[in-house]
Amino acid sequence: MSARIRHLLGIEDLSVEEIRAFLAAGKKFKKDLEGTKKFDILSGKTVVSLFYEASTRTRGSFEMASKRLGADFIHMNADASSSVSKGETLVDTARNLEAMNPDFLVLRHSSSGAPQLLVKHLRIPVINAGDGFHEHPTQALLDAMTIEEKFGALKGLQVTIVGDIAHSRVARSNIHLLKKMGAKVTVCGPPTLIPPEMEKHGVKVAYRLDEALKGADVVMMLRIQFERQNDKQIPSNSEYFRFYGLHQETVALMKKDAIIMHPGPLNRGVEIAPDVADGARSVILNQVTNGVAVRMGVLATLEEARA
Amino acid sequence: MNSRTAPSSLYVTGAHLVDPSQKWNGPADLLIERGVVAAVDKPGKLKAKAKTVKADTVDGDGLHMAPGFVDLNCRVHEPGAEHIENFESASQAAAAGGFTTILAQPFTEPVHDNAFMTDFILRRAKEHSHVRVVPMGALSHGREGKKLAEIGGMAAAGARAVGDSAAVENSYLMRKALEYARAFQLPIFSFPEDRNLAGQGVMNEGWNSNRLGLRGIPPAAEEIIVARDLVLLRHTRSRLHFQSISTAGSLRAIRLAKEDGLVVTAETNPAYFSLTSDSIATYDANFKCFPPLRSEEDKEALAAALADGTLDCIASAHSPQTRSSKEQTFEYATPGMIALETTLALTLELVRAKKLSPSRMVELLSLNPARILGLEDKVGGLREGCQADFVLFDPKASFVFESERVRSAARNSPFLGRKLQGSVKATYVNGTAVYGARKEKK
Repeated sequence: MSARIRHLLGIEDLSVEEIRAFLAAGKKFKKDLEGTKKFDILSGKTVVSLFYEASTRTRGSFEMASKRLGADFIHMNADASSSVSKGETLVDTARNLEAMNPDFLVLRHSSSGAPQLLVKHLRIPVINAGDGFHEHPTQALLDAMTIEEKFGALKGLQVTIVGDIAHSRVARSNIHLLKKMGAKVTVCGPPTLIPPEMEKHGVKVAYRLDEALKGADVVMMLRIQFERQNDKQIPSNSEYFRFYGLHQETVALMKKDAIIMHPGPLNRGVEIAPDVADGARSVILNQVTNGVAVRMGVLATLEEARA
Repeated sequence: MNSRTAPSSLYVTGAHLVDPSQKWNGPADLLIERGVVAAVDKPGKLKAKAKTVKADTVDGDGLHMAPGFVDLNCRVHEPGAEHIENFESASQAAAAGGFTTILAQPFTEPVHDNAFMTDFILRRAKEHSHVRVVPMGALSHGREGKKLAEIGGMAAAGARAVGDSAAVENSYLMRKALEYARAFQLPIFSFPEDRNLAGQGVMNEGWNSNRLGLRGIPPAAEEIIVARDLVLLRHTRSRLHFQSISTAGSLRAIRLAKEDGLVVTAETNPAYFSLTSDSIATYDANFKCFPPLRSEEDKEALAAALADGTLDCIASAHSPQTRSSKEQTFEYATPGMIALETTLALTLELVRAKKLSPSRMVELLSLNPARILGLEDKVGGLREGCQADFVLFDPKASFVFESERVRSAARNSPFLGRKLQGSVKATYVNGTAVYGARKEKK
């Protein structure tokens, strides 16, 4: 692991070696967790999580990862718009937190680039737990770990990502990681939810689900966030489900050993049928399990780099 | 404008005068009496006369001299938010940047939409400004885009342009404004942006917005209003000026309208011919502005349009903001950058790159904006009888644009800490130094 890694802000800046190091650390913890649930790597340390956006899974996952490594975990909830209207800048808030001497800051923010702003002003390591539509690096790492468990390696695999690509940090982080590791990526969704110049990522763009599913080893379904001004981008949930949803008919188009992933939370009946989400091909709960291990790996790796 | 001391006679000698209003581009001496240009002639020719009137000598040796720049797009925030910028600070920044006339945008609180406000602004400016201030009135009441402001009253009180400095969404209101303003020979200033198309966008739509995960504003948001306003102009035969043009598509529409003989003028701002959306890579909110920084192709098209006449002038789009409004994520940060003190150096980049001639540069910064305001008999040129508003600058001298040297009350510039080439040495208004008085040569 190179010493230059102080923060985990995104996948785009990571080298293949750095990605491998994070994944290896995650896998090691997953194995070790079979024997014990508690380590002392971060004992005496404090992880502060600052979340400007609601989250159950990611927050809980970071908390569990921190505590299993022996750290204290303090969670702070904030609302981006209210704190802006009160006049306190994100930088002010973070400086106040840093004054309390934590050892790591885990940040989730509805604005893309929020962690990039913070690291200019803070000295402690910052872990991005999702910024706007930009990156969600630990999600991509846990997804990679889940795929590798099934297929051994990412290289040469065909991965299809379906849904609201435009407003998805999960899609962006996964695309960066998968391309770096040699997988082939297709994105699929209605044209209104595919951002301009998508091909520059080195991915294929498909507007029809049947085309996108053909030959895929991995199908990642993204959450459709109807609350995010999507009313003018897709006509209705039911029309979306008809053309882009994963249900028995569309699953039949997939390869026999292909797996289905979803970063959660699921909209059952919008992007994925309940029986498909709970079906044999689904590895959705494996993703959640791996999330804790990968985040332990990230924290431990950054601690090692700092020490 | 506070000209506290009566201007004495001045003899400016040794400078290279660039004044397209009299097709001058070479060495010249100037004699100034009572704040007005009394004579312009070849070097040495005015020496005797200068001695007779006991003129103070201004040494212009090695410097370029131009009529003071006229800025059609400057936010002052007085009255309303004087802590952000006021006439004292804005005019100091203007003077430091070579600007001697600024068109104060109606970014005031209360909004400048009536003659009382025009009076008030002119009075405040007279007391506190170091440069000439020309008020621009709002087009609509409260800048709300619903009902016409008192355009006639503001014109009578001294406003020389009207516009909301924001998109007028209602096409009917825009049409009526264009028609109504004809009676008062005022140009309508249009800030072209379709708010629905721009949506919640914060930067140019394209590869960079995709990669950074930021909502995009497509060029179409600007172009659709440019096209609409040109259609309305064709219909009303009024006078229209576009502010802050940033896309190649807008330029195509303006070029066509000019070929058809419509009375349309347009400006761009240094940000758009100096920077592209590539600069946003680190999410630095100092690069956030509206319209957003565009593509390389747009940037090149703007430079070409400044040269070929599709664009008529360069305005600063000086837009001061507080530190806390910029110390935000890119999405929440307030758009805008201060620009009065960097406009000359950035424009000189185009001259150095041979994209503009020195004369064309002065047309864009001084003569054409003065014409758009109908002030070309007084400012924008240094012919005999013009106001002695001028700038002396060294196009080769470099300086670092450091926080300490900024005269504006704000610091929101993406060029802070950068080395720029082209330094203002002195600025005079009415023959009085408002920035960097030159040493006298006995």
